[in-house]
Amino acid sequence: MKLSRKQKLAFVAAAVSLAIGISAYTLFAVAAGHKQTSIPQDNTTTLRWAPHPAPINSKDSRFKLQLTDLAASGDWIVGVQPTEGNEPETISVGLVSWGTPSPNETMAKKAISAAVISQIEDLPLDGIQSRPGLVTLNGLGQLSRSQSVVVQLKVAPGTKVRILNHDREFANDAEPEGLIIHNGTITSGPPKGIKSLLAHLTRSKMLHS
Amino acid sequence: MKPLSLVLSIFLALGTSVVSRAASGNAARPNSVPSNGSAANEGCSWDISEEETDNSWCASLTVMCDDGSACFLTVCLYDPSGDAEIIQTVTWGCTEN
Repeated sequence: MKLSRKQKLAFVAAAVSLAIGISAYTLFAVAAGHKQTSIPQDNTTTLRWAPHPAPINSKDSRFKLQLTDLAASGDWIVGVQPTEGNEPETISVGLVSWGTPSPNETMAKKAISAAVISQIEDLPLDGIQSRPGLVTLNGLGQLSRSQSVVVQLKVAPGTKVRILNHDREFANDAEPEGLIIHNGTITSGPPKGIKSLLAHLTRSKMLHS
Repeated sequence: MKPLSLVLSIFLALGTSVVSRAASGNAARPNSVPSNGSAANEGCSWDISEEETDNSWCASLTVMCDDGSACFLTVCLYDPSGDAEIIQTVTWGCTEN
């Protein structure tokens, strides 16, 4: 079979194309086999919450906090901190919602499902009933399993705090530096603001999710 | 003539395909994660570290897998102005073979 000049050129072009393809394939294959190809997929989200503290008053160096309608299995954390100087006694209550950081397919396949805070909002002020020596939080019965309640109490130094959750009562002697109580268990170290309470909650979610 | 044209077309198509695959980098990249979600933890180890200052707290969760891939999740909480505002940043990412 005799080929025309045009056909010969086409044949050569096809052969060269195939040769280049095979060479490139081999080069990439060898390179990938010896060197890690890093494909970073960084993502960042930012969440802000400005708590709105409500005024409270301890009575005779005592204070009682009632978590009346919070489910017995509800996740709660209370931080007690002494006021400084003329700082007023206050309570800040946040409702924390938890979610997965991202629907990232790769992370999901590696089972990184640690929950992070997806939203924080103040408990509406009408959910805080206050009188001297006592605060009752209402509306916590609506919390879902993927929510927590965070409470920061700032009371006068030396105030003894009692917390009531259904039939259980958690009391402590006045801690001069303050303390954190998570689901009835006193944790180590005084809180350094609400951040410490949220950090404790986040840690527990990261370790137990 | 027609059979020859067919052979030339196949050669051209093959060459183009191979070049394309090689250039995309997919040809030699192994699957770095198990396709079966239920076995996702196999061959991976975990590590969590924390760091706290007066105005910040960060926790980093790192997962390293035998296949060389890794993922991280870092959660930070800041209160730059006391308790007036709490800021949370969450950063995550993965590297694959």
